[in-house]
Amino acid sequence: MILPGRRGVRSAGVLVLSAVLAAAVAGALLLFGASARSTSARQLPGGHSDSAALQVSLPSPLKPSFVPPTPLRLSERETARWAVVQSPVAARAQPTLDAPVVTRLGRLTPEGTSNLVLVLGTQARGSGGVWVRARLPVLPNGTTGWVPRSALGGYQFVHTHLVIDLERTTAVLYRQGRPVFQADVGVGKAAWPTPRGEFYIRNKLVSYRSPSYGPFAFGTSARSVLTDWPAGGFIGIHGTDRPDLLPGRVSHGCIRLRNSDIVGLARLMPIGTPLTIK
Amino acid sequence: MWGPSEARFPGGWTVGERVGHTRGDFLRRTLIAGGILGGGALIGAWPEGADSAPSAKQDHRILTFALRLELLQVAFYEQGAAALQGELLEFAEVVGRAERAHADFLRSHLGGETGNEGRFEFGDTIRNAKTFAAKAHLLEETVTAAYIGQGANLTASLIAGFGELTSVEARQAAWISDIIGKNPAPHAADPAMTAGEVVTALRDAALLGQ
Amino acid sequence: MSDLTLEQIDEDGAIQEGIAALYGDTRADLFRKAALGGTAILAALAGPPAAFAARSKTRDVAIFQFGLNFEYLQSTFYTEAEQVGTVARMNRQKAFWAKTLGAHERAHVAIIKKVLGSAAPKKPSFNFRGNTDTESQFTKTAVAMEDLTTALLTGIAPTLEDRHLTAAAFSLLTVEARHAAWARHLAGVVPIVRAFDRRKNLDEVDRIVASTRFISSLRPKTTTKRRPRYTG
Repeated sequence: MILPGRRGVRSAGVLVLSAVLAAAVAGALLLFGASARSTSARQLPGGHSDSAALQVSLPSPLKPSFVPPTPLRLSERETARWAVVQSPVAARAQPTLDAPVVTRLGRLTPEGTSNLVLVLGTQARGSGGVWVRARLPVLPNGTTGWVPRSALGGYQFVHTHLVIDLERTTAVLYRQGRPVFQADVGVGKAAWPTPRGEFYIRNKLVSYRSPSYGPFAFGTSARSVLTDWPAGGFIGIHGTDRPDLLPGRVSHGCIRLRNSDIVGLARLMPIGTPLTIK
Repeated sequence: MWGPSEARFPGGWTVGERVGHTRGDFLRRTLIAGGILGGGALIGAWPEGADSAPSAKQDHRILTFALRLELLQVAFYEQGAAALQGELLEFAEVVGRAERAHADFLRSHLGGETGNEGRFEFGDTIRNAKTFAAKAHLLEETVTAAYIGQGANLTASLIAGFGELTSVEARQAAWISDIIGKNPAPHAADPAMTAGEVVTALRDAALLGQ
Repeated sequence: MSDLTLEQIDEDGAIQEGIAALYGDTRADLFRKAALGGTAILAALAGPPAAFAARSKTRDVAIFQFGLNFEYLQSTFYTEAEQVGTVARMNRQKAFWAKTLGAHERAHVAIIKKVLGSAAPKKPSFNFRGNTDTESQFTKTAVAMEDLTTALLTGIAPTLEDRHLTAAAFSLLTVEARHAAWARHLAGVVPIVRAFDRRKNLDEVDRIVASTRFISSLRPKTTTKRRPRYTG
């Protein structure tokens, strides 16, 4: 604040006076809570915001009852997918409703279990919804076809894979790509060969009394050459009352394991497991 | 001018947890006591003993704290907008609007007794878009952690609204994180911050003055 | 439980179990419903034992049982999208989002299951009916699901008796809100719709989940006692 006046000594005094007055005013402003925007040496880096306003006493945060574990990425390997046939549907050669029918799928297998298909892929058809390419339990072996996703139930996932080697007469079960089970098998005789190809495990039969099938029997999607065999002539994987015949070419197409081995396999192999017979 | 409440109590000035005993803290407390720091009356804003059981009084303290954080954010977004364009500008505008609504909500529950709401000015801190974005990220993350820390301390009738507010702060944190290329959801469960940690973090980021 | 086929009472039987206790259903009520065909309900009764006498404790447990069923839904949804290859087809940023959300939800399932112990419901059967098969449907569903989870948790937080559970609920609701904002941002939509995320109560959430028909009370029947008729 410069007071009007003459220059020289008087001006100096005036300057001093005005400085004192300015300081007093500034001090008063501070005391009475005016904006503290400062351009003087008191300037602090960054903001000049009012931390005093945040000085409120607060309780400590309450400890939460639980804290989740470290989140983990999915580390699955060899994932295969299957789904139940929820409503009867025609499987078609292409993913459109006017494509030729490959086979009609019902809700149940001949054993009365839920009919299921292995899902090989999907295709979105715009307003036509999603179509699923499925491995089908029909002849010729290895047949695939397309069904609308809406005919199927929820996806189920497995990470196992059963490989039957007809030359070596072995069964190996892989889980996440690693072998976890191995056994000798009996396979089809020359006249009734076990078919080669890609299939899947369809159901499991238990608690029946039939020693020639052992304690457990798995149904597969593979079909025998014996097309007039009752109940479709599906290839099964089961126990036996003739373990002395294993390993070897002994059956009408089924894959036989020693009873102790089929028990072991039953503990490890979920329904829907893809099956490779080579 | 400063009554007996200015007494230097050992419990610290924001929370019932132990306050650090660095030189900086000592200096801060001295300055507070001496009244050099400006910004209006401190009466009524002095910390009292920490008490964890929910109560109307404690609600008042928590909401007062939250209101000040919201007002800090309102000012931050208002002042920062000038340097911004594109999505950052949209962010500042949308979030600023939300913060104003949050402040109104908190004020309404404080029944007019909001105490010293504080004035916030950020100066050069936010004069360029890149710095603004980094500070915004820190601010949103800090506020979210602050609210996670206090939600369960409130009385039941306030938890609902406070939760709805906290949820939006978390959205804001995720949004700015994604804008600047940081993970929008770094944890399976978000951590809390104590009020002391909040103030320290904001000060260290020069969003609060010394 | 053996491979009994569950009779269908309603599509969301699995979730209704969780809220029955909350809305004051007595065991008599539940048995009456069970008589109409409810192995699902009967299974629920095998849950919290009579030791949970205090109503408030039961209430918190019932709330978290509902919460766990919901987390099962989320975690299965995200996991499935990864398992079927939909996530692998996304660009890197989006794939990171989807994988992160899946990892978080699986962690949520793990901890809530652990906390509930023997009171934890079993994972329901799900059918996502194509919503995990395409990126566009997955994204739309994810955005809706995350918004719904946020609404669920903000609805739960004020109803819990145990304040330490409330603290946990806050730490989770912010994560779901982040998921929601992130999903919207990736979809090119403004991450914030309003200043307050409107909460929902369990009944509302239950109805919305039921309308998706994602929960299937029919489990596949893959084992039977019939005599094999394979070719032998």
